[in-house]
Amino acid sequence: MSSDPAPLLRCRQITKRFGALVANDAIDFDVRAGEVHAIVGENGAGKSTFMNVLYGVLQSDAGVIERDGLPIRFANCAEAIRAGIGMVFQHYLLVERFSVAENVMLNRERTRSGFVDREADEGIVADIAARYRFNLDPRAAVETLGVGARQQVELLKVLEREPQIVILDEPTASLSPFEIDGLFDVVRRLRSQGRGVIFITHKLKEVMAIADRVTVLRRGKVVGRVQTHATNESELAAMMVGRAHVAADDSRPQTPARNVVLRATGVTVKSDSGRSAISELSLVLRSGEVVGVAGVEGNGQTELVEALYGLRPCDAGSIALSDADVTSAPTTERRRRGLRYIAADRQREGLVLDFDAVENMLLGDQRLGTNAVALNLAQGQRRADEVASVFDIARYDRKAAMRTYSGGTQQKFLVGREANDETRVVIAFAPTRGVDIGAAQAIYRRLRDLQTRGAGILLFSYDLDEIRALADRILVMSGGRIAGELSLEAADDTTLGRLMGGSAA
Amino acid sequence: MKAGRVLAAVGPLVGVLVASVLVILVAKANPMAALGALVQGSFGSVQSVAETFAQSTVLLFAALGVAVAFRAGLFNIGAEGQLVVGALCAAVAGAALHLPKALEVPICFAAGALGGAVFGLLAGWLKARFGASEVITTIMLNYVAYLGANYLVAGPLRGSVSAPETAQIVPAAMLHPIVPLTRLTAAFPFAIVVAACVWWWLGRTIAGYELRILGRSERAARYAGIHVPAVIMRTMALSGALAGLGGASDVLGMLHRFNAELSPGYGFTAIAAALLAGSNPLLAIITSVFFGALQNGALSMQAIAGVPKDLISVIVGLVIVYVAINRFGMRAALHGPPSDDLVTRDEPLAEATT
Repeated sequence: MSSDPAPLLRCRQITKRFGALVANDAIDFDVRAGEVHAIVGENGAGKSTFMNVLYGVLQSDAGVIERDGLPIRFANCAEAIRAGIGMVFQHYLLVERFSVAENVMLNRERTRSGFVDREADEGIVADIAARYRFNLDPRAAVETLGVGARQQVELLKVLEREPQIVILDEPTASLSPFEIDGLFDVVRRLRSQGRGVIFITHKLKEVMAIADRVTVLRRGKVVGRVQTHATNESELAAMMVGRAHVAADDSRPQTPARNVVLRATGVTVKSDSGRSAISELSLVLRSGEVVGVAGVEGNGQTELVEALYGLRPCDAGSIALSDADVTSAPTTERRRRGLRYIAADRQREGLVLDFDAVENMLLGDQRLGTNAVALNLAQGQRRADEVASVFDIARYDRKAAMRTYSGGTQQKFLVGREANDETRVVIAFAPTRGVDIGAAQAIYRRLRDLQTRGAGILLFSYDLDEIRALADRILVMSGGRIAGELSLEAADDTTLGRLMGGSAA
Repeated sequence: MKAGRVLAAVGPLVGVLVASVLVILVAKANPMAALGALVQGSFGSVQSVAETFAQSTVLLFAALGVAVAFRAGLFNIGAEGQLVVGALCAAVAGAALHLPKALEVPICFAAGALGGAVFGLLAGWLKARFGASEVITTIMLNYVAYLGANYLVAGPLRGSVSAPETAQIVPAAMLHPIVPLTRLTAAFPFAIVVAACVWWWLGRTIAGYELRILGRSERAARYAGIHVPAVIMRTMALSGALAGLGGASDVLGMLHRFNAELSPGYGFTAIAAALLAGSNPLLAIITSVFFGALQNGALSMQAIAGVPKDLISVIVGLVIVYVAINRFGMRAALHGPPSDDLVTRDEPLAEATT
């Protein structure tokens, strides 16, 4: 490998912390001329943080970036751009009312005697657009364009500066298959021009189709780097979600599974965009068991959870808690029947960060008491005190805003509230994501207690470690269906990867 | 109430004071004399204090209405219109009904509250049903209220030959001064009781709790099983009812009849009072009295120091500017501090901000 020229960009030991969380942990990475290097990982794996470091949005706490073999530091994006790096963000940054040319040339307008030379700008943009075979009218207003065309405008903004390195952050997230093909043509063209392309995604099919090399990030670390021709989707999926390295749980209760506490039959649900997200999905959860739902993000997990919890209407099928049909019951009614939900996004869904611990402990249960008027602050206080002592929460103060606690402590409060004596079924969505090991163990213990008392736990996670640590059996979701069910023993990486990749069981 | 919040409410006042001195200097008057006259006129004697409280009464009701909406994340610019509708309803009830005072007064207040509530509910329904921004609809409904009331008192409801006004309310509906030679009536202590009730309701009842959850996070509200459209409508009705009480207190306590010009912009000053109070109903008492004092002292300032009383409008405007840039500014009052999505969108937010 010594004959290789220096890579266009090389990072050594990049580390970025946010408080106690290490978002990027000693990441080594490089991209060479004429190469497409994909970075894959689940949400929260640290991909975007890393990109923001590369693009100068964030500054790393440790580590070195080298450009053509020379060390360099970016204090801001402008410096990264000057160093020949261009980035297309996942969320487009366009001025709706401006034309394509105005957006592309924004802040770089050609001028003639102090006035913007619109025709010159339009000419430049038309030239680059033609070079990449974009079918774009430079004079069209961005607000009239579709998603694919908007992305081309974003690409033009970057390409107009002739960057040597192009970063594409989840570029296919909202594109149709046809538009994805068009994007891939552009990426191939960039590669043939000798530029380096960094392609961030969590869609493995695309990685296999377009990338030369893949780096897999997980929990802020590089867990694998492979040539695409030497790997396959299943192997990548297994790498992404991790191998079981957490010590096997010693106290797995051996309660025989009993009566059904949650049953979904033929549930069909649409996503926000009106497309079918889940089709005819059925599952059964029994008292005293933990069922893990594995799968790559975006395969209908969120929609399923919302349907089960009463936030998204079912177009077909039925949902029952114990023996009661709750298909069209509101969330409060389902909670009354013992359904609880450990929300995926604790800060926006599960907690109100400006409220104190006491008020947060009443969230969702506010109408379950006997008093229909007064807020039962005494109950909130009892529960907050109980959670604080069971979870051993440091610097506990009833009146302190939830915002003032660390993310791990916030999660303890959330789990403590949702997993209690009244819980018969709990849907736990990535309950230990982003928390430290100590907090994760305390959360596992709480869920185990719940299981021992006969509640059913439906555990959704993108992290196989988490599922393996808790689940008795594993359902794999793919494309809005259950692709297969595995016992814990049968759930090896290959099988799981194959099911998550969309192959039938 | 924490000391920090009190300080945050008082801090801007000091800033405004400094700015006011500069404004007075520009008007070529002696700032000490002018401010002295202002303070003397608003707090210098029992009568002037009483008059200050009288001037604060309508403002306080309206400010409570605005504050309640703020707490639910709703920006009710329509307190002015709701107040006008409430005043008209109270005036009509007060002129039409002939009941004993113990019934007449509460019924007139209830009529005012009901009128304001229905008018507020209209904006709430438009938002809940069609997603129409309450900022736009309440601004527009202000014109509907003002011009509609103008038409009614000029035509169907005209009760006076000399001016476009309703008939005078019956004596049983009138509130009488509790300090002689002033316009201070029982409406002011009533407003304070209402403020305390609103404070209690927000903090200690399930309905108030749900309203506050919605104000902090609509998603959290949905996940807590709250029917968001219902809370929006309920909140706007309550907000309008409080403003409507203000209109009723103006008619019953001060004017004894309705004309469409009765409000000198109470509903808008109320927004400033609510913002300055950080939407806290108890602090709103203080901020409403502050603005009431400014209005009341302005006349003395004009008479004694020769500073035009319209300068007070400039000072009120300064307070609003100050509040807008303060941490209790509109963004904070409505949505909490801005988040930096660009940096943290891939990472759990807590870890990124701790």
